[in-house]
Amino acid sequence: MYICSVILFAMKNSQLYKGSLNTIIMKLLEENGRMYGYEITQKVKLLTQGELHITEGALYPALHKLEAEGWLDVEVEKVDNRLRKYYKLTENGQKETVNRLAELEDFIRNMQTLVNPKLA
Amino acid sequence: MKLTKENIDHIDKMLFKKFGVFYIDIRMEIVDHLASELEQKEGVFDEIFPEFLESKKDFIKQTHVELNRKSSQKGMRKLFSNIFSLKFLSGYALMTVLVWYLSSATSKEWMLSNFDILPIVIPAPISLVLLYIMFFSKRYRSSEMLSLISVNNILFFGYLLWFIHVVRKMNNDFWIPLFSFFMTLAIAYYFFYFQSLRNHNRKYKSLVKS
Repeated sequence: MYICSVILFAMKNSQLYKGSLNTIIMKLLEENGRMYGYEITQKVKLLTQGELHITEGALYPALHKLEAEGWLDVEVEKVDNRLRKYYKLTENGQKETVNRLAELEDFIRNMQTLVNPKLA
Repeated sequence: MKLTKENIDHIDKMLFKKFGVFYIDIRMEIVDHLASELEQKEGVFDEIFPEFLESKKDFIKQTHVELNRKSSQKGMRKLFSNIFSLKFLSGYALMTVLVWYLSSATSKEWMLSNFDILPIVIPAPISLVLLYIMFFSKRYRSSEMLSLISVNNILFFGYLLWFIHVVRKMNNDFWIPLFSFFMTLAIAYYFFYFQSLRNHNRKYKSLVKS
């Protein structure tokens, strides 16, 4: 419960959340295979019950950056009268996701220690 | 609300004409995002679209600017990875040997008086095609393809304005590798262009026209 409150605090503060966007995107793609941009924003909203909104202006640059770094691959398909770009993790992307999640868990654990040392 | 092909085309046209989102690869992602969001709404497309588009203008502008910047960076990165590829380096080595052999058989002055302009002349047809694409095939321009070609063109301009004079003034040890590099790049430009065009057609054009 206290870990959740630390995470929720982190997520509500947009400055803290900024550094986690890439990790959140990679985690979602790890769990869901391939996704498109709008789907990612809706999934985050659903999982956090509306608590967290990904800024649309930040999403696509983040996706393109991850693609340029080789962590994501792209597939374009024709869907409902338009072209849709799906993103999925590359093999290196899957390994990098594991590393980043481990880093995030360390961060949360350290924050918990600082915020509530009695529970550490 | 279900969107028709005409609705999607209208969104595409508005992004192109009102917001200047020229590149198809950037535009299609924004079109898909806007269309997906509109499909969650109730109502008639023609009635709600103008207000909806107005509410999304910051997102469109920010995404457009950021993705354009990232495409330029991608073009630079692609050019460097091409230049340091085995094929390019092998071609460069071959060209250096050829230029050295020709300059030994004749003279540096003869070589440069006849061939120093070649690194700009050889890629000229592609540059003309690029100009055609920019003015007559606007809606199908891809930022990935054009950024790679633009970066190459900047190098050729650099050769025309500066490096050509350096080549003319340098001694044998330096002018041959420098001139050979630009000659190799001028020839490799065709490969870069057709490779980008193939990728672009595979990814977007065949899908758009189907």
